[in-house]
Amino acid sequence: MQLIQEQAVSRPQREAPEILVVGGGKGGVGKTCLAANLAVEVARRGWRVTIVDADLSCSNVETVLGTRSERKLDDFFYQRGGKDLRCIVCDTQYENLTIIPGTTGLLDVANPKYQQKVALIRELKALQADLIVVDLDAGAHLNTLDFFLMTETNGILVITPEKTSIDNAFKFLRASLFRRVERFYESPEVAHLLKRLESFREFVECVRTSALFDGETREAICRELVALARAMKPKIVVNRARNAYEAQIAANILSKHSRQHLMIEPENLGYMVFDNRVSETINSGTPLVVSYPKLKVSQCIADLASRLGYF
Amino acid sequence: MKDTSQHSMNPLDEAGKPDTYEELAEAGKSRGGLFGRVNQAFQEALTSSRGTRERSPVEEAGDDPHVTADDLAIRRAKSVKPQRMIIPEGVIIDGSMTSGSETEISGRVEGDVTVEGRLYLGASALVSGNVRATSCRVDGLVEGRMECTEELELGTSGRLNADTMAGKRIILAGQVFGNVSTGGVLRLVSSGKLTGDIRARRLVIEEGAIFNGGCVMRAPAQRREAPKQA
Repeated sequence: MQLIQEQAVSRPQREAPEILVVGGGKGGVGKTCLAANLAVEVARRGWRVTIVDADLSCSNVETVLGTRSERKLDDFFYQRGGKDLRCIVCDTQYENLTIIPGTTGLLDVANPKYQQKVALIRELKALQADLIVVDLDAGAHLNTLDFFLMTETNGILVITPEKTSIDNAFKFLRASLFRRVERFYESPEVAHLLKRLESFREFVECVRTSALFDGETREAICRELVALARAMKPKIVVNRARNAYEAQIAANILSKHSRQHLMIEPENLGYMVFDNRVSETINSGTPLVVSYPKLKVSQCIADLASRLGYF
Repeated sequence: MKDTSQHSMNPLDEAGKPDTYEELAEAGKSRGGLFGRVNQAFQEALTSSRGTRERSPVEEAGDDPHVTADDLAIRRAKSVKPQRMIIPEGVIIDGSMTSGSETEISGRVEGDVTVEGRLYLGASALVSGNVRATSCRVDGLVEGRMECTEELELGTSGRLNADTMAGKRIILAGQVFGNVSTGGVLRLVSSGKLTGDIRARRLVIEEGAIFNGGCVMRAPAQRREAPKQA
């Protein structure tokens, strides 16, 4: 009997944790708020969750969660206290939830070397957890894009029902797709073409008609490109919507543009309803799902967690 | 017979005959008595779900040729009051649809259905697309992911051909071919047939129900702790 139990313990529970990256292009749309609340909600349902603050310049997951820890992501980049990312994982006041705090925001940390970034992503995938929530920063620079492309499908795009936000989310998606293509081919010609074109569909057409490749390779490359775009299945969450109708309209506009120009078919994951108390909870350092579990917004977050399959 | 022919012959009557929808409504209002009131109520019910009158694309967009339907939709979305929607049998909707409140579908929808509120899919309803609602009762056929925030009830005549999820409760009395997951109770009633895997926190299977598949009942962290306690 004991033998069986020992075998059960020694066997690895899961090969790799699921990774959920929360991005969205525009700042202030509620990426950190969603990431923190979703992490707390999923952790309360009995999943081991690690939340990672990948906002290298302006980190504030700790503020939203109301935790304070000694260790920072800086320690990993400068390898103080070991090369292991597991040393930086800190406990929080919530059961099953651990946190990898962000950087101090000092001058050099916001631009890690490529190797450091790759090492971080590799270590993240080796963490002992069921779910890793990665909170990204605003904008579409290379670090953010590389973190967003860490997983093929599990990226969340947070938008608000405003034109600016929808526009930025589209640009963010386009940049990440182009980055993906660039990394896939690693050829200067492709990079050169990508920098000139606004639409991915145009780019595919460009390759189809270009004289650089012969007929068969051309078709093969086009097929590869389309497959690269189709493999991306970002999920849209509309934050600060007054009602479901408004959320759906915003999500539909983004999906329409990504379908037309990028050949990406995003999934509409859901929305978070507008509530004044959200900013109150951010200031108080208690996540929404803890302080106001009965509110409509908290229900929305619970709903998002269910839709992602975390019961 | 005589009366009607006389009426139609009269040129005055011909001119005063209401020919547009609005004129009809106005004519109804002016007439007093029970008929007038009933007519008025009827007209109001008809027009209430047709949007407010103040909005017109001509006024809102002005002379700017670049204003698209997307722009106007975003602008208006904040102030829209959700309306009840009914799609009767014999109506085909080719595309996705969203509704802000209670919805009843008996027709055919070839696309996603999103409803903020209760959704009723009648026995003749055929939906091939993902369905999302707060709570839902299905008596027809759904070919697509079914997601409910709260409750899902599948009637004896209902059939789901894909994965199904509900936040609080699922009651199955019909057929399901796909995985079923819920954060609450799953009840498989005696007439229910389920071919697929279950993920639920609580489970009830009545006598006579058919279930072919696997079942998981706890979140990973709880599953790990379970043998230690035993």
